[in-house]
Formats: sequence, C-alpha cells, structure tokens
Amino acid sequence: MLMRTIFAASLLLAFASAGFADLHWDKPIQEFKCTPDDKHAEAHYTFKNTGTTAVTIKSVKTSCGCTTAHLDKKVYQPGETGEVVATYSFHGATGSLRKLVTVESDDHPSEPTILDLRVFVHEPFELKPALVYWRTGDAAEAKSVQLLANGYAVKIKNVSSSNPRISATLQTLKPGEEYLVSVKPTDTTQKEAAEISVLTDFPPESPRVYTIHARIK
Amino acid sequence: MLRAALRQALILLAIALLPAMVSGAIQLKWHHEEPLAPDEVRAATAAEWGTDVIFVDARPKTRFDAGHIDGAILLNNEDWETLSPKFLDVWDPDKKTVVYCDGGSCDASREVAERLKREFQIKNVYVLKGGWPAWQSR
Amino acid sequence: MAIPIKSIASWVLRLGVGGLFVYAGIVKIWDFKAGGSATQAFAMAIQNYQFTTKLTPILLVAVYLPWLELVTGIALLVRKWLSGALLLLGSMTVVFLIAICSAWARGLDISCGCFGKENNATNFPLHIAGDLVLLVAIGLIAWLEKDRGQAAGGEAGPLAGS
Repeated sequence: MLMRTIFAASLLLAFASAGFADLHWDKPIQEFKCTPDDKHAEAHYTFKNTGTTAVTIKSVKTSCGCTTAHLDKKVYQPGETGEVVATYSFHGATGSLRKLVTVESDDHPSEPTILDLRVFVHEPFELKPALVYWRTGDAAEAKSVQLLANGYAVKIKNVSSSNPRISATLQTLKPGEEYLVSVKPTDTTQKEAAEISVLTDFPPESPRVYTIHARIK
Repeated sequence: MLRAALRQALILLAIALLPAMVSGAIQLKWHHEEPLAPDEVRAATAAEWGTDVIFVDARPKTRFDAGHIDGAILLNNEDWETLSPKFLDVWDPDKKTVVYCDGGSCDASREVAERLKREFQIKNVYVLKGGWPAWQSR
Repeated sequence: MAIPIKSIASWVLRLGVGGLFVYAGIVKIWDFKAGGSATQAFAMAIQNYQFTTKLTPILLVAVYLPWLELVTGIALLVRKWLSGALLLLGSMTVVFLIAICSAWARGLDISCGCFGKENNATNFPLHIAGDLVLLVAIGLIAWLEKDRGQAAGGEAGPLAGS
C-alpha cells in the first residue's frame, strides 16, 4: 500500500511540475518591511536560463502606475543570468501591500511568470481611529482616539481643531508612547466637519502632522 | 487486486475530470484577472444599489478628469491627506462605499478600500470588480 | 458474529474520511460566504506554496483537485470502486503531506488552502499530525474492507457521484 501510494504521489508530482520553463527564477516572491519615510521598495528578481536555447523576454508588465519594472536586455543565452528590477512607490500607503509583475517570454508564451512584490509599511505612529463621527441628533458625547507610537518615541507637541464647535483635548497616558485625544462637539443639531491636527516631534528633522477627522452627519 | 484498484482509480479520475473540464471551460477567462475577494462587488450589483452607494475613484487625478462614474469622489493614495477630508464630507455612514480603479490588474482600489477600513474604521467598503471599464461596459 | 464490529468501524471511518473529502472538495469549488466560485482563492493558496510561478499548472490543479476530492469522497461513502477510491485518497493525502512539509521546511507563513478560503496561517505540526491520522484511517478502512469484498456496492450499481 505504502509503495503504491508513494508511486502514485510521485506521478502526481511529476504531472504538477511538467510546466516548468527554461527560465529559473531564484525568488519570485519577495517581501519587504518599510517605514513611510522609505517612500519606495525595490526588488531584484534574478533568473537564469537553464534551458538549451536562448530565451527572449517579450514583455515585463506591472500591475499599476505606482510600480515600475526594468530589464537590462531581452535575449538570454543558455546559462546566462539576468534580473528584473521592480520599484514600488507606496505614496503614504501603509500596512500590507502587494504588487504583481508579469513577465512574458517566448519559452512558454501562454504561461507568463508572475513576480510577487509584497511590502509591509510600518507606520511609526498610529491613530485609532483617524475618524470620529456623530449622526445629527446623537448625544453630544466625547469620542476618544487612541494615539500609539510603534517602535519610536513620538511626543505630541500640540493638538488643534479647525472648527470651534468641535473641541479636542489631549491626554498623555504614557509620554512618548500612548496618548488619548478626546473629541467633543458642542451639540449635534447640524452637520459639521473638523480636521484636528496632531503635531508631533517625529522625525526631528521634519516633524509630522497627523489628522483626526471629525464629522457630524 | 492492484490492477483492480488502479482501474477503479482511473475511473474515478475520469469521472472527476468531467465536471472539472466544464468548470474550467466556464472559468477560462480568469487567466488574466486578479483573484476574487469576499468584499468585491460586480458592476451590475453596484448599479442595483443605486443611490445607496458612494463611489470612490482611486485613480490619479488626470484619469479621474478624463472620465469617471457619475458622482464619484476622487481619493487616491498619492494625495490622501488633501483628498480624504473631501471624501469624508460626502461620506454617509448609512451608505455603501464602492472603490474602483482602472480594472484589469490595477490594485489602487483595493489599497484605498483597505485604508478606509483600517484608518477610518469605515464599514461597508467594497471594491468594484473590473473597475471603471467594467462599469462602462455594464 | 452478532455485532458486525468490522462493518460498523468501517462505516464510521468511511463517513469521517469521505465526509471530510466531500466537504474539502465542495468548499474549494464554491465559496458559500461570497456566493461565487472558490477556484481563484484556491489557486492563490496553491500559488503561495511557491512550487511554480507558472499559472497554467496551478489553475489545472485548482480546477481539478476539488472535483477529485469530491468524487473519491462520495465513492468512499457509498462503497463504490472502493479500492480505487482508497488508493486515490491515500495518494492525495501523501501529496498534501509532502506539500505542507515542504512549505514548513522553507519557512513559508501560509494558509494551507485545505478547506477553501482561510485567512489564518497554518499550524504546521498540527496539520501534519492531522494528515497522518487521515492516512492511518484510510489504511484502516482498507484493512477492514479487505475481507468484505465489493458485494454491497458492486460494479453494476448506479454511477456514484456523477
């Protein structure tokens, strides 16, 4: 029974791997950890022509305008190596991001290679949440926003609201680490909007301002 | 015994092949599409929702200016700081937010949708499957 | 024998293993939560194993494997083409074991994709243990059914699972 299952399994595996091409990619999936100051991530996908004939790369396409991919030349002889350089500018996006680069070559024209670029952008300072809202007629209760520093000491220098009818008060829970901003409307009889600016001291060379949005809907 | 087992296995493999081929034939077009996700919505469904929807255009401003879904609000990662207050002015907690971009392999809509959910903790955020082209050819 | 222990044990094991494969097959064919085909989600899960960067073999497996699980699971439940079904179920479990071990060895942090769309990363040791239990169960069924023959579900019966 065991021999038989192993035999069948290897048959299945052989079937599944029948589609391998002449181009061998070292790391088709690459992951990066960044901070927003990095602005972009650059991945180098190296490959080798392990086949017996020259391979022509027909196209390298990226999944959106914020990603560019670059290839030095198009034709690769047997045994020759090359690399696709993909650059992803994340423009202030944070969290888990994913970009795909599609490479078409003439060895298997119908099966483009998908290169996967995964970026995790670490936000040094987080507002939880960055939006508080009330519906008109709701009780004019204060809502609180938690401000958390992630891995860096971030001090808050000032908190100010753009609208006098919505006030914001700062409470320090752990200096440099954890703060609470309490947002309170004077009343909720009409629709209102306020942008509350949170001025920090980080990074020292160009301190960042975060915004809490308050709305009465 | 072994021969019988192999013969029966082949029969079962063949039986499974039939529905798989039908399913594969129906789904062939997926070859060039981004994966399905639970919070995706088709253009036809979004159209049925009618005025219950606020559309968010996650493309660059130049593309937005060239044409967009009626009433859509521009909100992209590039100008998030300046655009998000304008979106929140129009946003309605009782309506669905549907984010779109240029379809195909574009993923700006997914990023903006994720960001709305994470940063603003907005619920009922969807990504329009196929994006702007799917809406036009609806 | 007054109580047919062997056939009861076989029935319980077939219900468990067959039911598991039928369930695993169905949720990989149709995503009931999203109300749509689950093939793409399963293709993504296979892609995460990083065996190949080519889409075609991944899509072939993503379309075919769930139906094979479903059909063999049903065959096991109704005792039709039993030895063939056991051979296939055993082979699939071995392949799953190899795949999951290789993912573990390469340090991939992935969801196994065993039961449709899952967002949790797989607990590898637990999963491997589960697959081994499954293999033992399949072996037990083969042993229990060895002497019973195919009388209950003969070759002339209606086509199971089609």
